Amino acid sequence: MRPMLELDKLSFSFDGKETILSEISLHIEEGEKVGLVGANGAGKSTLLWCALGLLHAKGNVCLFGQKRTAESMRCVGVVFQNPEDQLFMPSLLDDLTLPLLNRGVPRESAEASAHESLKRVGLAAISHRQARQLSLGQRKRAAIAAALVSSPELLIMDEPTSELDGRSRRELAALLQSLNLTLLIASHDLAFLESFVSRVIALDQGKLVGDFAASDFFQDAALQGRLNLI
Amino acid sequence: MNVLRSILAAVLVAVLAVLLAYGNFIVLAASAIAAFLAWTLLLRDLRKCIWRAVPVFLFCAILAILELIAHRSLTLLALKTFVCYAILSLGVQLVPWTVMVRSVSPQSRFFAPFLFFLFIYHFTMILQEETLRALTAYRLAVPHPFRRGGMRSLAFSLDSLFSRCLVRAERFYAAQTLRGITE
Repeated sequence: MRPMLELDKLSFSFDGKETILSEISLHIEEGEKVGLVGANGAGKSTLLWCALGLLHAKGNVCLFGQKRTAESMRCVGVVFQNPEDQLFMPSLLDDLTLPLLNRGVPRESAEASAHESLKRVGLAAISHRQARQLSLGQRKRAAIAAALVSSPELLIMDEPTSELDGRSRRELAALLQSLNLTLLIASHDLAFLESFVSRVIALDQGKLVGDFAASDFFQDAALQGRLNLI
Repeated sequence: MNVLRSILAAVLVAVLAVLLAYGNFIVLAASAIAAFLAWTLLLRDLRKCIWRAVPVFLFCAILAILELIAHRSLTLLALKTFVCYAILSLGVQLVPWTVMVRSVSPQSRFFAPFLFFLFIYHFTMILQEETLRALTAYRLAVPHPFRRGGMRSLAFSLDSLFSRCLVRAERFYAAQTLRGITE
């Protein structure tokens, strides 16, 4: 199995005072669908930002078996908790084609890939519209399409269900289940995660408190209670 | 039509440069009003335009008051600031962004400056969205703006705009970095 993401003793604090993450080590391999759970303020989003290099943390981060570089980051798709600032072009189609065109992909292939991604999330019919004109749920789906358009090997999502209604959540879970790529999803929506993750990593107050097989975690209500998840 | 709109936008920027260099009070005031009205007609929403202009107008008013207190005289700085806002808002509305995006290749030397203008446009939109949100929240929380605490709340509400815009700008930059746009 090829290692996709390795964190080694990752620690982060604001101004060196308040510790947000404390020596977190984890290892995710190819094809794994991992849920990162924890109550509000547990450090899930911060951990993802540190792993992506958006916050400078102590410790080592390796992607695809090597130290994280701009080149290796190209194979990582990211969907933020607030997708409203991920997309800024005059239309969804332009937003999705931009990173491909930027990498030298011909316009025809880039537009075909963009259409395919938008179709997967059910937004192909409104590809001409600007992200700002969409509902929050549609923006979230558009951000997912934007992450998928570059054919990433690792997809990282932060609270993907935060603005979605029940039906959209089920559709998103089905979509993520069907994807043949490695997933790391931070969420406290256990019902959503239960439908497709194979492994659960739990955080509490900036510390890694457990790494469980999904079946064990979702059956243990007492554990979920201790982590303030139910 | 798109070419005409682009030319009009470019002409507006040129006119703005001339106005800033040579305009007197009457010319500047007339230009600001004309540009604001044209922008309102283009958006077809007077209320929205007024709400969007409120923070800039307040900023200009405070600037003028501070200038008056500090120097006991008033220059055209505040008025010029508002003229910039009104004319550039109209110009941005005129630019056919979709057509331009498709006609400029990312490999072209014009792409980086074009992307820069798109970023500026996006940040302007962020500022406008956050202004609307802050003022809507203020209106709901403070039923009588001229009673006790009303003005203080408005000041805090406008002050919060800066931190909110900063957070959104940070998120935006992070997202574009990860998408490889800033490479």
